[in-house]
Amino acid sequence: MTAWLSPEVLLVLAGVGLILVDSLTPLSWRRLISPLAFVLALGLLFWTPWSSGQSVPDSWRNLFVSDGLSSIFKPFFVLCLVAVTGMSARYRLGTEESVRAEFLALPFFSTAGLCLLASARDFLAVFVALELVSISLYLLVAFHRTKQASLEAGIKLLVMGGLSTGFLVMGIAWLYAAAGTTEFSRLLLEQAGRPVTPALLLAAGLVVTSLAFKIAAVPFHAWAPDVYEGAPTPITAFLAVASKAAGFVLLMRIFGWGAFALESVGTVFRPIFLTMGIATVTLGTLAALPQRNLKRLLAYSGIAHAGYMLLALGTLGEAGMGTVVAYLWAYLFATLPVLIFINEMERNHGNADLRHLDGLARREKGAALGLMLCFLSMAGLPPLVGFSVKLAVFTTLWNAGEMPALVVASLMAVIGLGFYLAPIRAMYWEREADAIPATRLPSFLVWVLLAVGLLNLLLGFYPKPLVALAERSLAPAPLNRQESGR
Amino acid sequence: MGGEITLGHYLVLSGALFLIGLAGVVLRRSLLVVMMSLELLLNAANLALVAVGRFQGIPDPQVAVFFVITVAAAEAALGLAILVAIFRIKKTTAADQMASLRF
Repeated sequence: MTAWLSPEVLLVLAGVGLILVDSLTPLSWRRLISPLAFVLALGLLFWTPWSSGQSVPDSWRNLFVSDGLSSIFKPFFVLCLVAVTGMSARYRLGTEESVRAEFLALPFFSTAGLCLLASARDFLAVFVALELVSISLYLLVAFHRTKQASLEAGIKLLVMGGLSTGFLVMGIAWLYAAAGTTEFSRLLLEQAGRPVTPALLLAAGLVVTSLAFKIAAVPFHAWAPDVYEGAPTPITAFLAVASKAAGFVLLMRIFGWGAFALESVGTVFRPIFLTMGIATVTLGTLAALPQRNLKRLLAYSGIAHAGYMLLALGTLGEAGMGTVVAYLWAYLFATLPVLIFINEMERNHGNADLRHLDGLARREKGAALGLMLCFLSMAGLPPLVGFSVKLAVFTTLWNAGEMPALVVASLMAVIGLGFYLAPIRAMYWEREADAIPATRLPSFLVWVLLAVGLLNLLLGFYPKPLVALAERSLAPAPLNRQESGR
Repeated sequence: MGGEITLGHYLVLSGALFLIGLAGVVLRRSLLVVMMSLELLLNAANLALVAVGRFQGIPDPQVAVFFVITVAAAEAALGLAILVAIFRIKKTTAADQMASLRF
């Protein structure tokens, strides 16, 4: 197998192909572009697990690595892409309908960036990959050129993303000043055993700040609810799941194995991560309580989840990293179906107001059941998978002896029940208002929602696949293997 | 005084520029000025990269500058395009007029 068939290359080719097909075929073929994008994404999903484990060609070995972590998250990102292209096919673009091919192709480029990011082992590669992701996303978020909310969301994401880029580049500059290199394993080797310098800490701080924007951690979270609400829903899904996961993958890589995986740096950043985690969980949970818009609710719920993951990551041990891997997959399975439903809701009603859920269970029993399972999983109720991963976070904190963090996290998990139960109550107990008919879904989507909902239940009873994923991501100490390979 | 200009001088200057850019992004109300401040942020980082490369005698950071310039140009082009679209609808680019996303 050659490197030309790596997911990144194929993703870019597929994106370019979509634009070419759109511009070279007759107008009457236009409506075939959405199914084509979906089929391409689906094909890539089946291809990625086979191809993402292969080794990186020699000439790229200084920039990219193929290890457990990257081979687990490339399928994750492509799975997000499948959901996004599927949702895009059902999304009404209004006056932008003539440029649907671009709307479908850009997520492919963005996903290519995410896959590169999962493999990056040099901060320059990280920078280029992150910008490939971000710039495509700015465009996608602001895609509704005639809709004010979409444009405002776009400019907000652009300003916040620009800030994040600034911090990252400054961090890279300080890394050069402190260590003379930006390659993860060389940084690690050269700094090991030396006393940590303020310049290195500053560099690490700047990089962490930049990534905190990406994962929407407090105090860099303010953009998330607005951008999630204003963006076209398929793109909200991409931001909420794929983009957030990318930030965590990178944090895991640099603090788990490369660059800053030093005892001396860890002692400084451990309390910072834990404090940020506590603040993020608390703010995400409390701010979600009064929300009446499902997209904003998901944004704050996403912030809270990022907090739990930050707490697990903040312990800076192997157990913490494994927990984050499992948590991200559980988050994907619980969040994506809800966003798929919101997409339908917006198609029906034009907005994602919580009252459109009223009485859903009477009309769409299967969909309501699937959604309920997802919400309960997000809330972390047993026996769903959300409970298993939250329990893993608490166990990690307990073993690391972080009692204050543990207390706050469990308290917030209980309070969090409040806002996750609101949509369930609306679906099952509220009466459908006469003026506003409940959301209708095509039957295949009901099956998708039901299937993913049941998957949440299944993984809760039988979490072995998730544990295996977490173990595989940690198994071969990646940096050592590369060193011997060079 | 009359001392040499050292790496420290450049890093302090770049830090100052970075903070000015940051203040601009946070405080200014015109989105156009916010975009300019973002450019200032990136160029502050560029200055640090160039200086570090020069004083440590390694070419890598100076190559990195080209990546940053390219990315900054792409971001600016996109940002201005969005601003034009916003101006068409609202006839303003003031940040505090961007209030359609509140709960």
